[in-house]
Amino acid sequence: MSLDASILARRGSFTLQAEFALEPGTLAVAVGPNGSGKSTLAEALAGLLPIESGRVVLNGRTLDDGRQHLPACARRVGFMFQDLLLFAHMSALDNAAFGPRSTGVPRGEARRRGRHWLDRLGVGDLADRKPGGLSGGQAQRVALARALATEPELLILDEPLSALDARTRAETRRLLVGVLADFPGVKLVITHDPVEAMALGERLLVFESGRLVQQGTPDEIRRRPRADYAASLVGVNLFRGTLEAGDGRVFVVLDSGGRLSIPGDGLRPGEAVFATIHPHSVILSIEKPSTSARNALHGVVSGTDAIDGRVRVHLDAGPVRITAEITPNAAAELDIKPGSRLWASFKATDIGVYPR
Amino acid sequence: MTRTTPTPSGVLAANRVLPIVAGVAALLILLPVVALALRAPWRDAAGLLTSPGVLDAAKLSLIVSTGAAVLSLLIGFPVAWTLARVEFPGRSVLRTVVLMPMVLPPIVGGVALLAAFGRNGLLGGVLASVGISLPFTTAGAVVAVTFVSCPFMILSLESGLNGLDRRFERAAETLGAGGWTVIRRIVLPALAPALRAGIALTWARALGEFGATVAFAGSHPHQTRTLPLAIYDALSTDLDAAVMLGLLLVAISLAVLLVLGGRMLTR
Amino acid sequence: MPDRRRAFVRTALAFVLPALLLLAAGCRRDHPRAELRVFAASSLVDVFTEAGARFEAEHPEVGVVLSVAGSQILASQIVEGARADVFASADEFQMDRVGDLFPEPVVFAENRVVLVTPATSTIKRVEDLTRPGVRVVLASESVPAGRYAKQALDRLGLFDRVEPNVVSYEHDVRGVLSKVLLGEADAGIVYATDAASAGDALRTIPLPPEADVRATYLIAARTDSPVSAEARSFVEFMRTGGGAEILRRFSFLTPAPP
Repeated sequence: MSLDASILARRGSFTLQAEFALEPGTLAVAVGPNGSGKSTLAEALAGLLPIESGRVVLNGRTLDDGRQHLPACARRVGFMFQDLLLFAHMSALDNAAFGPRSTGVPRGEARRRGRHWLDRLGVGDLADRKPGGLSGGQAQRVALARALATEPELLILDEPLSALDARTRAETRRLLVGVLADFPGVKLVITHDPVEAMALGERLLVFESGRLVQQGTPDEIRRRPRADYAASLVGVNLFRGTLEAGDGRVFVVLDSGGRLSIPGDGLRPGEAVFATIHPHSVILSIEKPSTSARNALHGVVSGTDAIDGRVRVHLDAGPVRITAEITPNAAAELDIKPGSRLWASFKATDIGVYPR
Repeated sequence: MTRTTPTPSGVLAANRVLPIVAGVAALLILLPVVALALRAPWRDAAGLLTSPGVLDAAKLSLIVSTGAAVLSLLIGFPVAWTLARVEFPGRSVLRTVVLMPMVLPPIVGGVALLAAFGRNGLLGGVLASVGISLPFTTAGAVVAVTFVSCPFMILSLESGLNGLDRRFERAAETLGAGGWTVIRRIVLPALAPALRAGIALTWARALGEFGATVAFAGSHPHQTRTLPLAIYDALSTDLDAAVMLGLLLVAISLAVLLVLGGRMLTR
Repeated sequence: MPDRRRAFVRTALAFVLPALLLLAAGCRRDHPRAELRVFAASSLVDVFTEAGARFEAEHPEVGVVLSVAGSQILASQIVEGARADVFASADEFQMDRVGDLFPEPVVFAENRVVLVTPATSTIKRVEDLTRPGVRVVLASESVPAGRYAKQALDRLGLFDRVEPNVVSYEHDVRGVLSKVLLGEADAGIVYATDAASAGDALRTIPLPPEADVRATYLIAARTDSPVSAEARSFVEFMRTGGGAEILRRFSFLTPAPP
């Protein structure tokens, strides 16, 4: 029981390339900025976009191999669309019963199933309403009930929370997590929101510019991001470079220029590596720090944002860009504003290094 | 080369002038109908309208135009679907062909139908071999009227199909619905306004059809003499009856357009 | 922009110049002529077209303007005020309707009704119209040809037996003729003149003498016409002059020549 996908799909000039496998029971989240290919992925899996080459195999059934494309209606892939796409001329119940009814289930049984899922999602009392008479959150639940009523082997939820306001979103997220936990098949949530991805996902697929750039558990990605988006996802500074030894110390010579001093144990010079520094390990100061054990970069503040009572300061230090996270007090003391010139320093031991 | 967009004052001027033209146009259309109504022998109306000939013609008209609307729907939907959804090289040719009856003088259409389906027509032998003879029958009148009125259905449905949000069809597919189920349960309900407009326009055009019917199906009081034919027949002997029949036709058409095409008209 | 303007001017000239030339040609006239407006029933169209030309040749000072339509339509137009100097009707009733303006109508032609069938038909006599399955087309009783056809069949005692075979009562004789010509109908009853105009494509079967129903055509000059002399002259021309000759050539019967 699993989904195996190796996909090359094209839409216009956009190309998606991805290879991954998903196990049932694990909530997978495909995350990436707009235009990264995650929606294309969803459509390719659902049969709404034939793939050019590769394979999509769901529980041993080949859905697509680039030549034979199983039509969407025969895939047993449930899809909840970003815009829900509830059928406006049908009641909530008829929407929910549409799937079973379309696959030959007798009317009464189809309606029973539809009602079961509406009840399960807490909107059973709205069964007779048309979608036009539902609130955003209610419509969301009906749409999910409709997708689940088909008893799919793979369930795809495209941006399930993005259309909701903050309060409904928290409530719906709780419900979603509960319902998805009971769902036995393969489940994939599509989102552009890193926070949502980290919060929901048990396994993440990170997309950038049509490529699957990293996959793993949120923890793996948090500890070892391998792509800029993954790094911003987990909020760390990510650098690419090559190991070099000299003066009895070890450096990462950054691809973009500059170098970072790191603790040297167990690393082979010449190896290509990622280096990460968490923003709260970065200290900002007006004067150059005196301790030579620290890496120090001099740069110009390019911007700031406030996150959860902390201030993130983005610094352009020549070829390197680095983000520091400090307290609002510290920010006030340093009188930080765009254009301020500051030193950013961090301990070698705070740098995480792992092979590329 | 680029033109400046009309200034607000220019738009306002147009808003003053064009409604006047529109009003005059409406009056010009209304005037003959009103003149007809003024001329009508209202005192004899009941007698004229309940004479057997009139009732037969009205009944035939209802049968023929309803039949034509149904037949136009059966033909028009596949054609409109093909034009709206299927990409193929001859699409504009197909569109031109199926809309041709709109520009063809109906009487020529009737003769063309005889050439195709008449006793000596291209397919006359084939039809005769399965026991079908269309000319001079009510079925033949339905065919003639359909030939003329079907383009209205096709145009209406094609524009309706082009206006649909196809993502709903994709959603239905992911729920396990095959092509026919999608058409039946998603496309057709969403197409309802276009269907209603198409039926209303087709029905109204069918109701007034004269030339193709008389050329293809003749004019038999119990078979093919629909209201327009009865009116033409009455014109030479009984002008009063012709006028009353004409008003009856106007009344029926208006009723149908208002009931069926209500949303289209009030849009 | 200049290019576009030049193109526009060229296009405009292309349309306007020929129109101007046509107008100029239309305006050129050797000498002023009296305009004689002749209203004639549809079935007379060929005869009157030719007769009008010959009348103009004989009377260079007169220009004949011909209007052709069903007698009932022409009569209605006259009632509503249309100017007609001469009215030739296929129907006595329609002539009566305009009796105030045309007080002295005279019969100038007669037309028999005949049976027509496609050239290859097995129908030989009018009795064959009662055979089952024969498709007969008649003119509607609302037009004279239809009434004459019914009269003829009634006189032969056949109408009730032919009626079930009648598939259409056409609104004019041309409709009957075309249905028979196209082979959609096996037989029709039309005027002898129409049958003659169809030539070899149709076989014409005369009706027995006891069914010799004749349509009479009446012609009259308008008394208060500004060209009443010319109008009377045209009526005479159609009764006894060159017009009568043309009528006979088109299979009309004319009153015994003087």
